[in-house]
Amino acid sequence: MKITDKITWMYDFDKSAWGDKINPNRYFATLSLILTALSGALCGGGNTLDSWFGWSISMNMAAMGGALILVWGLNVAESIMATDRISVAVLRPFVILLFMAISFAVSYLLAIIVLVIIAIWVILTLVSGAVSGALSSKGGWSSSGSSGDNSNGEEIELGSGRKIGGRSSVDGETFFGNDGKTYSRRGMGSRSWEADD
Amino acid sequence: MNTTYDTSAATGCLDYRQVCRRKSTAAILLAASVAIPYILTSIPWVDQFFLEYFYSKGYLGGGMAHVISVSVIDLFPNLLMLTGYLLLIRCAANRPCKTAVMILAAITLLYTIGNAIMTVTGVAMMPDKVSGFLSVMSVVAFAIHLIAIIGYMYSIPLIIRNCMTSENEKSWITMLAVFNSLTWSLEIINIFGFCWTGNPEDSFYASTIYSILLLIMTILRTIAYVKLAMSGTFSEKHYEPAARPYSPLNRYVAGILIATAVSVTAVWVYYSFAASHINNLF
Repeated sequence: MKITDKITWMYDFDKSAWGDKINPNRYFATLSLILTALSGALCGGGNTLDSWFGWSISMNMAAMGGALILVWGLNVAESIMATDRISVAVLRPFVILLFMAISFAVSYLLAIIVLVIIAIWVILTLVSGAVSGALSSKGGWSSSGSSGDNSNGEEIELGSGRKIGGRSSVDGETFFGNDGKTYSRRGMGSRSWEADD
Repeated sequence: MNTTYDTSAATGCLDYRQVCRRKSTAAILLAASVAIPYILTSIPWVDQFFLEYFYSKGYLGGGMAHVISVSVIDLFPNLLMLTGYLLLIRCAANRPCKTAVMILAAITLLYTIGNAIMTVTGVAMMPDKVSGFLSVMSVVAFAIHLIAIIGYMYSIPLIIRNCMTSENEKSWITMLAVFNSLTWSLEIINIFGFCWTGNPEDSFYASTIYSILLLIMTILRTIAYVKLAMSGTFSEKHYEPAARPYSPLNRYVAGILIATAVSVTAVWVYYSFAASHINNLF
């Protein structure tokens, strides 16, 4: 299906409502509605972002309103010219006005809903990122600290060759053995440990 | 195959192939004459180039540099459009259609002459010597606009009513009349300037939606001109015109006038009472 066949719903509606009594342009009314929807989306999205973040990207509503009146005026002209029947010529502009109002309102709300969904998604992404980050960090502690938490995990070898389990202090200079004794290095950079008295 | 060769009673001297050739050439010329000015004015540096050139010549006050640069940009497309209409005059399928195309050609000729005078004045003269002349030209431009509006309002319905166009072609040519009603509305709004006297940023010209509307209209007008040139309005055959073919009392003229009245009134009411509250409302 071509793109041009997709933008004829208003024409299809006209034909289903009035049949051969009207002969409007295939695309103009639909394009008018799309334009109205676009302005509704810009209006809703702009105002939402403005209220959330103070971004002054909301559009000039007064100017937009004037332009939309102009769009409607063109549709009024087309409605009168495209039909012989006075009833259709009178009724169609109001139908178009109603559709324009609906498309503006719907797209206004949709823009807000889409922004809210995006905001929720961003927040969830950040939260899940933080949580998984926290979890992976914790995993790091547990893997490296499995020996640290486990008091039997670390071992030192004394000068006598005996091995003692326990845990070392933060600076690595003191070792708290499982036997209740405290061990210290003897000499800077020395690898040999001796029990403190 | 081409049994229509002998039926050239109306146009007399053009055969099927000549008519086809003229119609195709005119369609290209008319479409180009609509698309080219839009494309040129959409390219920022083109507009800027002309503006800076005329600023450097000393056209500073009252948006004169802008007016002259628009005239320069419009001159060539106007010539294309004029050539297109001149090609079509001899192919008109009946007398009212011929009259309509001649009116369209005459309007385009007026615009072409006006733009040519403005171009020559802008390029060749110094602004201090022609300021009086330019103020006269602004009155002339207004008169040309007015004549053009009335001419378009009369001539396009003349074509729609008197030719054997298909429903699809008719709807496209109607769009041309619709867009001229916009021109008519805008001129009234511009002339009286009753709208955004407080804040020019509130005018619909400043709206993004208006610029998108302009793009949509340019595309539709381009197609509509092609449909007009290729339609049954121009044929080697002769079609009987409608009853009272030259009468301006028809639904097309009524549509333009009523729609203009409705939209100008709506714009007036909107800008008088609603527009100042709208910006606070949202």
